[in-house]
Amino acid sequence: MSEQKLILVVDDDPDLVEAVSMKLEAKKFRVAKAYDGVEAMDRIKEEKPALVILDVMMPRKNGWDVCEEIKNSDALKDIAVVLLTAVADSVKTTSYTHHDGKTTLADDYIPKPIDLDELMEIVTDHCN
Amino acid sequence: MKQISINGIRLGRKMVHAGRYSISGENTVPLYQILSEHRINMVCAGLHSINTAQVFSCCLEEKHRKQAARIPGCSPDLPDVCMVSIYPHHGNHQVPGTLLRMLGHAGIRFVQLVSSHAMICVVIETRDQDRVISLLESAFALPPSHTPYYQEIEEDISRFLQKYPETRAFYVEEKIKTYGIGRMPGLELHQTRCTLKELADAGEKMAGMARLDKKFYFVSAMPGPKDLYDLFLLTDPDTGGTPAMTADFISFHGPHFGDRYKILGTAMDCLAAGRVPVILAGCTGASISLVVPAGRGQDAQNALVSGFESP
Repeated sequence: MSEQKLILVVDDDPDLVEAVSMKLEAKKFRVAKAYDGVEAMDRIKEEKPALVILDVMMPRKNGWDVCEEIKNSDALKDIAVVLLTAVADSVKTTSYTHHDGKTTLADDYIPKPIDLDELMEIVTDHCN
Repeated sequence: MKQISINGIRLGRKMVHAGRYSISGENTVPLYQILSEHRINMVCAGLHSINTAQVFSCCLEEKHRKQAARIPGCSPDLPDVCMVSIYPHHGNHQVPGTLLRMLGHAGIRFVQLVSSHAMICVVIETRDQDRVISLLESAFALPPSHTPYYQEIEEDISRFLQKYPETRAFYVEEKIKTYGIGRMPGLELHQTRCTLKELADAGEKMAGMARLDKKFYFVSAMPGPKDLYDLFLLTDPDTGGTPAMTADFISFHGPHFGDRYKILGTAMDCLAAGRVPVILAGCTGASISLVVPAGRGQDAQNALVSGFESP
């Protein structure tokens, strides 16, 4: 049941992590939180979330590197990744092509400032 | 004593503190407006506007020291400070209560304490940094893989930002983008004026409010004249004790608010244009918090639309 799936929210802005988490919890998702890329990888390996909402610019390890690590791992590659970025124009790499031509290893991305309702739709779509 | 679980402690170093105490009717341009005009970002700021007095306090990156020291009303010797934040608080009274009790018991002076949606930030003198971190580590439990307290921006990110500054698009926006403007009407505003030592008791009392399973929405404390601290706590109704007044709460946050000048000034301008008085204001992290008189929250929310975009 998608309502019980675990979503990992990763951003170095704790206020945004809380806002997104509260919205996800209201939608009956389980939520885990991380505040940089290294902590995110630890949580991903430990908890195997169904989907990761991943900021790009973070200390220690950026979102692209986390995304590549997930997608290049046989054990983790099925985890859906949604990138949050204020620099959508510079999304890099190749395996996924967005409708407007941007490419990324992630399953989806959403430009900042994010519309929380739009993000919830994306999460729900991927979890279903 | 049982440790309280949190996810992280963050340390902001190399900052200076500026503040101003004024009596209403004094014809002075607010310090936050002057800083905006000089394009100086406030890493955190707090405003108490109660009765006839207004206390404003903020901390700035150290690189702005010389520029800020020349501003009329600012001390020429801006003290070195650092900001320690804990997160998330989840509106749990135990978090600010424990922090205040800890600071009061240890006799550690702070120049500002202010909350955001997720964080509680306290600005202390740099020399007290290690002591405060160590006290926090004993009072709060962190997950084993927590983020380091002090975050260095990676070199490759720095290089990337030079080419694609994340904030570039937002500095030129017509209206400041937010993730949404929230409003909570009919809350209780509790006020305490006390010495630093007495803050330990106030913190104890605040932590005890957690038993009632009620939330707090905003906390702000700053020293005023005669070294007495003014502590404000905005809570759910019926939290216990006698509130100073009822009030409405407005909060919002947006991308990179913590790195940008002019956010608080714009919010205050919007409310002034809408003739909505502000009792308390705080900004820290990526959040702005505003406490307005009961019944004026909707007016405040409407007034903010002239300066901020809500999805």
